[in-house]
Amino acid sequence: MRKGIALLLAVVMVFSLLGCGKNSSDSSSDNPEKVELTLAYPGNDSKREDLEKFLKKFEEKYPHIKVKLLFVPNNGWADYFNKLETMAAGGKAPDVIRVAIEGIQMFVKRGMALPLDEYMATNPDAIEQIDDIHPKLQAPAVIDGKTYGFAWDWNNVVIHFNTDLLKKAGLPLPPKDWTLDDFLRYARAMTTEEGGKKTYGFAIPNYYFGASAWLFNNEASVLNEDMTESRLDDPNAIEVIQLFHDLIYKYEVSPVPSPNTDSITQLMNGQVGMIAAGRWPFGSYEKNNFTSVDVQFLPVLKTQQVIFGFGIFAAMKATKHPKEAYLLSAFLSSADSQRELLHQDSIPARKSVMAEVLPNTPASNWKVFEESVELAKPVESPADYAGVSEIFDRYMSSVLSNQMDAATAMQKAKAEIDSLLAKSQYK
Amino acid sequence: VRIRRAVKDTFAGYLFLLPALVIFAVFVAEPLIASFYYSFTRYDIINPAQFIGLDNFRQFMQDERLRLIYWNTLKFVVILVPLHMTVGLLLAFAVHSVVSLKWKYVYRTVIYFPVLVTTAAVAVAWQYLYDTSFGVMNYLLSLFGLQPIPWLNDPYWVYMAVVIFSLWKFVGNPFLYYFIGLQNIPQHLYEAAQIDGANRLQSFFRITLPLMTPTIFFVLVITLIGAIQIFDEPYLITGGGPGDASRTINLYIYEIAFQKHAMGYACTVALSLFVVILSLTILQFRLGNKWVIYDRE
Repeated sequence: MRKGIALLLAVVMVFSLLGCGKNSSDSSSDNPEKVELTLAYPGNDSKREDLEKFLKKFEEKYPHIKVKLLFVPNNGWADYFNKLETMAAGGKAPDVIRVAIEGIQMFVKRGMALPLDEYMATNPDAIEQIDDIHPKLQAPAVIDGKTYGFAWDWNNVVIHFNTDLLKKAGLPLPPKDWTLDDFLRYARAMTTEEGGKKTYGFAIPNYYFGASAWLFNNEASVLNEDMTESRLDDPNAIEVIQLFHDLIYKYEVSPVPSPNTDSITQLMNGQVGMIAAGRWPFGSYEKNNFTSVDVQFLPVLKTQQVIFGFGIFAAMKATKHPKEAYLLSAFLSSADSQRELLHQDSIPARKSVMAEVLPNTPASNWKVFEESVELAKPVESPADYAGVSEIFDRYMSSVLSNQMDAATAMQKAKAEIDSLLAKSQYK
Repeated sequence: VRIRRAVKDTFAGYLFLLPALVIFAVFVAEPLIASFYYSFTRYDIINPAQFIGLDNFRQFMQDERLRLIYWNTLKFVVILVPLHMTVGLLLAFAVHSVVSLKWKYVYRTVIYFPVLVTTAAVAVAWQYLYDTSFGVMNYLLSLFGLQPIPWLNDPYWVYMAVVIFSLWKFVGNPFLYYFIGLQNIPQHLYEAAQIDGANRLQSFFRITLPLMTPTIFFVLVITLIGAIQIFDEPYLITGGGPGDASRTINLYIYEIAFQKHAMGYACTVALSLFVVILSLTILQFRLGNKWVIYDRE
């Protein structure tokens, strides 16, 4: 009996192999071999439905390619990149990954990202109107003359206001050129306590991108221009970190941030009046039917220098199907993709879609998202981003917990970052 | 014939051992040897490892953060091990002495339940409980007119936060071991003692405690190793902060390996942890011989 089954299996396998052989020999010309690509996307699967719907169009256009979605839960970009990297080390690298500017250098310098130029030259039609992608956003996706993807979405950092709390404080939306004094006035006015319910004026952005935006506005930054050394010991940088400290302990207008504080929820709950974020919270706002929100540029400190970060869909060098991975990367950069997947999320990178999608943002002052692209400067994202941001976040937490003064913390952070960059393997 | 039989028996014996040996070789021995090898290299997982001699060990000796981090780990061990061991034991005694079978079942389930829940999921909830400005803990304290506690923002309170969570989440483990240990003590010994006129206290010290020593020893070994390797609780609740205040050695190894991509140095630090755990375990077994009673008959 057992022998019989084994024989039957063997026969089935031989025939199925024969079948395969026939298929692939026939398919070389007009019926290409079936290919499955894995697309990695950060987060839990809240975007699954939208993505699946959109990827159907891709599979209709290229019937021989099937896309498998892989959602990677994470707590921040660095964590997401680590997980992708571990998959790659285990020989299970996805074919195409969503990656933000924070990780592009790392994937490129470590030889994990695939340059797409060769495929762009042979199949230029796969990319829809590349000059519609804002050139400023596309520029950092080109490293040493090689293109690693196409800018899909981007974000700046602006102040989000809970307009109900603004109204209650009797304040209008501040003008674009509001100052630090104005900001403090707003934060104080919105800090209240009623019947045991405490409301704070402002949630401190205790994350690399958000804090960097404030540093930029004070003519400071975490790193120098060529990202080889830290500039955190600069008095301008210390001044910003001291301001964050003062907002909690001197002015008492900000709550002490916990390690994974969700400031978006705090804004919606009316626990804080203002947060600093890009356009990404609008997805949560929409899901929670929260519309009492407006936005304005960060207050002017020494200057008003907007920050930006952006994302691409990069193909991995380890992919067995580079041509198809390129097709997917290009398809995901299309206007349709941005229109459908970014309607209430990051800012679309195509000029045409930006103009179309942004007015639907519930914030009346949505123009700050569009206007700022011309002024924006990219967030510093060296190949050692994960290490640099870990050091910065750690010292920020010491300052915000009142364990270390801003000057000492920033000097120590600088020393550690410098030593990390000096030993960097990616120079 | 006898010799051939002995050979056959030995062979059979090794064959029975084989599955365990294979698992040990693949998941314990090989990684251990690999870690030893990588500690002499510079390795980022993606690109091939480069031999760099003793550089990682030199860095290990000069690492300023390491001292604080080992100190933190030691503090967790000193607080958590006795706490888990005594609270677990007390709970086991209490539940064991409950007469009603139904209530015994209820208590057992309630105490063990947190162990079954995904740590990551409940840690998120606990983070909300601990929030300084909006957390439930501080709200409850405020009802008694007490000042808010910076649970996750103060180097002292952050330990309390982790310890309370750890106790709630994991005390079910030692509890269960003790509980089973208690149930395995033959009832006839107590009956015999009773006939000989022993009171409850005497039965406890002459029967229960001696017969529980193997269980207590087992719980001590695993709780100690668990506490030295503590990762989930600080990783999920405090993130190691504020600053390095609650960063433990395992969190640090994770940070070096997966955030800074320095797998070689991470292996060096991991080896130091291996040496610490190995020495402590040998010490425990040496000392254990003096107080653990294995012979029941």
